[in-house]
Parts: sequence; structure tokens; C-alpha cells
Amino acid sequence: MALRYDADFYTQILDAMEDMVLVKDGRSHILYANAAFRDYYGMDQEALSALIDGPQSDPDDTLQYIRDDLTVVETGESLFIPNEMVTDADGQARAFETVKSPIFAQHPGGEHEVVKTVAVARPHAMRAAPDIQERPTSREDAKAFVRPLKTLTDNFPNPMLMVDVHARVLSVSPLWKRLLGAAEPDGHRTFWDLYPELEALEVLLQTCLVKRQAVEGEIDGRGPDGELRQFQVHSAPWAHRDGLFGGAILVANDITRIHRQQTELRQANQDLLQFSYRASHDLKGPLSTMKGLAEFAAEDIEAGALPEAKENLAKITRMLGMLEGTAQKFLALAAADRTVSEVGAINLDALLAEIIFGHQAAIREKDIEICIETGGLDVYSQTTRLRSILENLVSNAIKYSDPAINRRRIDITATAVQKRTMGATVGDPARITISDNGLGFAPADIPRAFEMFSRFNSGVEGNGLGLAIVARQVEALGGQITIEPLEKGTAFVLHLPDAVPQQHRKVAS
Amino acid sequence: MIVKTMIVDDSDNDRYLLKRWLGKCDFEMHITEARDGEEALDYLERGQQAPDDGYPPAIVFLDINMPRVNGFEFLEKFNAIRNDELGETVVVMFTSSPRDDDARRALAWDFVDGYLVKGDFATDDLQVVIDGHLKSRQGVS
Repeated sequence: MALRYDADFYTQILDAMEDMVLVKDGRSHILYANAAFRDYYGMDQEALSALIDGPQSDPDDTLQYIRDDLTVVETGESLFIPNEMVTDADGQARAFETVKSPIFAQHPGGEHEVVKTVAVARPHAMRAAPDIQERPTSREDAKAFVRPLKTLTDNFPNPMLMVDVHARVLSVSPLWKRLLGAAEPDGHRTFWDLYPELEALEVLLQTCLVKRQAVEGEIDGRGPDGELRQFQVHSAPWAHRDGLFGGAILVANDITRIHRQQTELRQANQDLLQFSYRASHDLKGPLSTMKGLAEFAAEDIEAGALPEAKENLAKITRMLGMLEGTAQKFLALAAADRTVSEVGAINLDALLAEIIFGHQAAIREKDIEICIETGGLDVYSQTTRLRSILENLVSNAIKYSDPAINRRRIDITATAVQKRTMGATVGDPARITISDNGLGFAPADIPRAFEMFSRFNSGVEGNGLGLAIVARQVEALGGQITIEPLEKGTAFVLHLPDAVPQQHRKVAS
Repeated sequence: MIVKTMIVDDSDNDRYLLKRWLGKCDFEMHITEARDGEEALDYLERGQQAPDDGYPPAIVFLDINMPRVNGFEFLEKFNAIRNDELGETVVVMFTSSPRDDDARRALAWDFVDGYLVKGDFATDDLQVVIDGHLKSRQGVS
């Protein structure tokens, strides 16, 4: 059966649409409304025209309708009304998106004339219409309102950007150009055209434009120095003075520092947790051992086994000494994290002599030869920290010396590393090397050597804190420390930046 | 009846204490000592070739926090070298860590039979561990 393209055919199609379709004549009288429109008002077509064109209808609304219709008739161009509030018969207002288009008739002379208008309206999928206080009045007013916003954006001290409903970039603040993309807006190109690299913002901006509500998110960007930075971006809808949705304004905050601080804080918390667990373990272990030893000592005394009782008491005494040492290391670890500001010239020979003097009993007992070659070098550093570093390294070298070899020795050398930094005011780095022919590290253990509580020698008692303290002190001095395994023993190489003034250096001309 | 036991602990004092506690139990013991997981694994692997009087141990008392090869690493490696002879061997953790997750992690191995926290157990507990183990095993020489 052939289809008949008559009025009934088209009416059925129009009634099947969910969109509201309204056809008016050139003077804005209703000629036709489809089923969706009639349903919305709960009436038939005659009642509908009586309401809209009748004296009891809302005059303002009607006026605006008529004005929009007449604009279409006059200009012959479609009119897009993105946010039109329509009140139904029950007084319920809803926001609609409406397109009003002209219907042309051709005169015998070939001229076109607008004879009717057709309006197609659909409710907003996302209802977040700004309050409407007054209908848009004129283009000039809108401009007068948009211009100050653009001026604000152009001069805003944060990275800030303004787009219209179609994501066309209207204005960009200087800091946005510097940090997020240098492209200049021309009022026509969209955000995606101008900043293809800011893909991460696409969803954010789309959401803001579609839902017409504020959204925020985080993106990575690159600063002018090429350094990776994190930005928190707020996208908020802006509206014309009359409440008509205008587009979105994006404001970015550089949160690189906060990000870094958060990461550091998380790490510090993790360290603290690990530390308190290990610290309590390191205290609880010896305590329960001492408890056991004390019980057996009492038992031994009762049984008359006095030599064994004496031995057990001696063990307790030794353990108490170790606990005391552990407590001191905890204090040193805490001190390593505090800021100390005293910087001065330190004579390495004097400092090392002082440290070695403190260990002379062990050095004599183990018969260790110590050889120091510093060339009388003075280094500029924080005395407390440098002392702590050298003290720990020297005492480790003594503690982990190898009893199986004949000539145990520790070599300490210090040199200034000359750098070609002409004209710069920074000093030269100092390199201090402490090497021994002791028990040494297995190469696999070296990466974990500076971790808290890591221990590698079951034969020697220790608390696994010494090198962790060294690592923190070195970090606080801005230096570096590395472990170089030797054929026999270990070398610790300490680099201290800016530690030797340049006054003695020959400058090449 | 001699019960072959092994103590793996880096603390001389804790090995001494455990030996004395075990001495109070109602069994004759043969105790082998190792100062860390690596020494213990060396011993067990050597025993597979040339067993001595302590091999194979019926019970291994194992510390967790030790240098070189710690308790958890030992459990993994021990599982890999278990053969028929070591199939009867059980491990009892002997540690100062009271942490639940450490206990769960150790007890997840089917050959780990107990978890004793140093300082928090009585000699009777040891007796119970050993009795329980012997009752469930036959033919301990």
C-alpha cells in the first residue's frame, strides 16, 4: 500500500514526538500544537489557544513569547533559547530548551517571506536552571554584563579561563597561558581546539556545561620550566544578569606543593608507624629476655649454682647497657630530623681525633690501625650533624672489623672536589671516604643498608639504627652517601656540597 | 625417647633461655642451634646429605626478626626443601612480635604448629606444644 503524505500523516509523526512542537502564524497566534505540548498543559488545542492568547494568561510570559516569535519573523533566522522557563496549567515551572524557526512561503516573484513559526521545545535533561529574575532584554545588555566578566578573567591572578555555552573560549588569564597553554582565544575556537593537550579537562568542562553546575577535578600540567605540576581546577557556570546560562569559568590552583607535602606526610606517617613498631619490638625483646634471665638467676641462687647465677646477672647488665645505647640512638634519630642551623668551619682532623678518642678501648682491644689523611681540610657544615655521621661510620667500622684477619685497619681520607663553577658563589663539595677491611656487606644487602632496623650480621650485636641516622643527617646536609663494596671490606663515600670555600682555587683565565 | 629440636634465633640469650626452658620439660632433648635462617637452612640441607644426631628435627623453634634470612624467608625456603624426612618436622614460632598479622602469616603454612610470644608464655606452654606434637606423631626415636 502506498503511503499518503498528507496532513494526517505528518500530524501522527508530530504527535509521536516527545518534544513539544508549536506552530504559530506571523502574528503569534497558535495554529497547531502537537500531543506533547497539549499533554503538558492538560488540554485540547482550542482550550490551549484560548489560554495563551486569552486575556487571563500571564502577560509577561506571553509578551516574551510574542517578542521571540516576532524576532524570528523579522529576521528570518532561528532563535535558540537555551533556558526557557515555562509554567504549566498547575503553576509548575520547568526549564526548556527551545528552538524557534521560521517557516517560509515563496512569492510568485521568487522572494521568500516568513509566514509562520515553529517552536520545538524539550525539557532539560539536567535540571539546574539558574533562577530567572528577568528575561533577557537586549544584546547590548548581555554584552555589558559579559564584558566585565571577561575583563576580570583577563586580569585574574590565578590561571582562569572563560567559555560560552558552546565551550568557545572568550577570555584567558595570563597565568593560564603561562602554566596551562599559551594559545590565544579568538572568540570562535573552542576549548578543545585551543588546548588539545588538556584532554583531562574535557569531561570536567563538558559536565559543567551540560549539568550547569560547579564541578572540580585535578589535572597534571607542565609549568613554563617543563616541570610537572598538579592543578586543582574548579569549573563553575556563569549566567547573564538575567539568569540565562552563559557558559563556564575555570579557575585552576597550583597544588603541586600541597601534593608533594601530602606525599611526604603520608611517607612520614608510614615511617613513624614502622618506627614505633620496631622501637617497641626492640624494647620488648630485651625486656622479656631479661625477665627470663632474672628468673633463672633466682633459680640458680636457690639451687646453689652461684657461677651460673652470676653469669645470668652479667648478661642482664650487658643487656641493660645495650638498651641504654638503643635509647640514645632513638634520641639521635629524633635529633637528626630537627633543624639545626649552626654552620661553621670544622677541622676534620680535630673532629676525627675526638671521635676516635671515644673508641680507643675497642680500637686497642681489636688492634685496629687507623689512618687519617685529610690534608688539614676545613669543611663548612653543621657540626652536630657531621659529628653524628662520622661517629656512626667510625664506630661501625670498628664494630664490624673482621676478627679473622691479622691487620685490621680503617682509612679515612678527605678531599675538596674542584668544580669549574667560575663566577658562582657556591663552594666546592668535599668528599670524605671511610674504608675498612672488615666484614663488609653482601652486594644484595647494600640497597637496604640505610633502612631503619636493617641488620646484616648475626655475629655482631646492633640495633640497625646507626646507618639510618647517617642517612638522615646526610640528607639534612644536602649531601650524598654511597657504599662501595671493596674486595675486602667496605668504603663509605660521603659527598658534602658547598663545603669548601673557593678562595684557594686557581681560576683559569 | 629423645626429642630432636632445633632453635633458630640470633639472640644468644634467647637461645640460652629456650634451652633451659626445654630442659624443664619431661623429655630428653637433642638441641641444634642456628643463629639465623640461613645457618638453619644450611644445616637442614647438609643433613639431607650427611645427617647427624640432631637430624631431622621434630620441632624447629623459629624467631622472626633475624639478619640475613629472617623467619618468614626461612619458612618459604624451608617449604621448598622439605622432603620425606623433613615432612614430619613442625615449626613453632618463637618471637617477640605480638602482631596478629605476623601470627597469621606464619600460621598460614601447614607445617607451622604454634606461635609463642617471647616473655608472654609459661614453661607449661612449651610442655603442651611438645606433648601435642608427640601425640600426633608416631615413631619419634
